[in-house]
Formats: sequence, C-alpha cells, structure tokens
Amino acid sequence: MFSDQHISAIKRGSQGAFRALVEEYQNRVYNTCLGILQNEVEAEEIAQDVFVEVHRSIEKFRGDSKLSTWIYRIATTKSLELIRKNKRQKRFAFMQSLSGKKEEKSIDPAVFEHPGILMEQKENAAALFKAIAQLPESQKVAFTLHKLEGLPYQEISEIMGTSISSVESMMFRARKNLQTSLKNFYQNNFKD
Amino acid sequence: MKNQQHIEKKIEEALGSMDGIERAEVKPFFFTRLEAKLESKTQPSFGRFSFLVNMKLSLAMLAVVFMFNVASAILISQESSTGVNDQSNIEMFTEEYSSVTYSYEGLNDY
Repeated sequence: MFSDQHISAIKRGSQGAFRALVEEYQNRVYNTCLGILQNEVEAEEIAQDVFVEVHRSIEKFRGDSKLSTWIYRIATTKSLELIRKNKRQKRFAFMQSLSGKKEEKSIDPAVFEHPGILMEQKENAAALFKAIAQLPESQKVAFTLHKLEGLPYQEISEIMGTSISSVESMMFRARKNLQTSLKNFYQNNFKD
Repeated sequence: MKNQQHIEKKIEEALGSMDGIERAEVKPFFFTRLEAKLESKTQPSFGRFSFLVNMKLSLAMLAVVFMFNVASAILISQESSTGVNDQSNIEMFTEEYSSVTYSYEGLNDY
C-alpha cells in the first residue's frame, strides 16, 4: 500500500519515491496493458507511457480515489487509445489500398500467449484471448481487470467510473459474447 | 450430438483457462528505460509542431532577404538622386578625353 507520505514525496519531486511507486505498480500496469493489447511490445510501451503520465500529473492527484484505481484508469485508457489508433491506421491503409496506393501488408500476431498461463491451458487460453480481442471495449476492460488482475467488481466500477451493477452486466454480456465467439471458433476447427 | 457436447466442453475449458493465471512481469531494467523516456519527454521537443519551427526559420530567412532588398532599394534611390552630378562629371571627362583624342588625330597627319 502506497502511503500519502510517499505521494507527497513524489509531488515534491523525490526520485526515490517515484521509483518505489513504479516498482510497486509496474507489473500490475504491464499485466493490464498486456491483457487488453495482447502484444508484449505495445504493452511495455504503454506501461511506460502510463508512468510518464503518472509522473506528469501526480500534482493533480487529490486522493479522491485510491492511487491504484487512478493508475489502473490511466492504464486502461491508454491501452484503449492505442487500440483505436491501430484501428484508424488499418482503416487508412485499407482506404489507401482502395485508391490504388501500395499497401504495406499488416502482420497480425500469430497467436497471443500470456506468459502467466499454465502450460496445459495454453491452447484453451489462446482461443479465449482471441475471443476477448473481439469484445466491445468496456466488456474487454471489465473482463481483463476481473480475470487477469483479480480485481473485485467494486474496484472495477471505480476504475471505469460506473456502478457495480453496470460492471456485473458487462461481465455477464462479456461471458455471453465469449461463449458465442468460442462456439464459432470450435465449430470451424472441429470437424468429424 | 457428440461433437456438440465436445464443443460445449471445450468452451467451458477455454473460459476456465484463465483461472490461476499468474501476473505477467515487466522485463528487467524497466525503470531504466522509463527514466530514458522521461528524459526524452522533458527535453524541449516540438514533435508534431516541428513544422512551425521550420516555418519560423523560413520566415526569418525571408525577413533577412526582404531587408537586403529594402536596403538595396534605398541605396539605389540615393544614387539616382545624385545622378545629375554624375552625368555632368562624365560629360566633362568625355570632353577632356575627346580633346586628347583630337590631339592624337592631329599627330596622325604626320
């Protein structure tokens, strides 16, 4: 738990206190970004951006919410921003290809493997992550925070700025959507 | 039917595959890389507005060229105001030179 004294020290410009904060939260931030982005390089990049943002705007942090909530919020926002940016670039490349300009072939990562998945679960988890990638943003964030980071609905609702019942609804719909995606995936991959 | 049951089982297995997942960890020296990024962000960088810097440079260059032009125009106009005297000087010189020429022409008669 990061104390108010630590936060005050960071606000005063203490490099040591900032380092302690980074070491405390770096894996949580990286794991969250990795779950949403499903790309290790991008997750590392965004995790760094999260702490740059924390360093830049810690002055504005008034302690209305928990520090972890604030940091998770920055992490999820920045991850979603990158996903939107990537989608925009793909659309732009597609439009360029329509207009006859040479398009660089986008290389989709083969299969995402989360490093924390148990060996015997790797195949199932790969199918699940593929399905998670297709979820709407809010469901993706709620599901990732709950399943990957193990956060309770209460904290997820604070991070997402919504009610607990909304989070419950998002989780229910996420599970339904995942079941549908997985069913399609397995129907196409299992043939008698 | 058997296939359907198998798919249902696979779905449940997939949904449960994240149970007991361990948190992913950053690669070593994360803070060192972060420090480098922080330094690069705090140094003055114009990023997407760099074209404005180029524009400033272009405007400065244009201003210098413009000043040279104005200075040249002023100098030329000053010279043209004193052009009458110059003209008379040239005429005097030509007359003198011509007289010399005539004297030489006289010598050619020999």
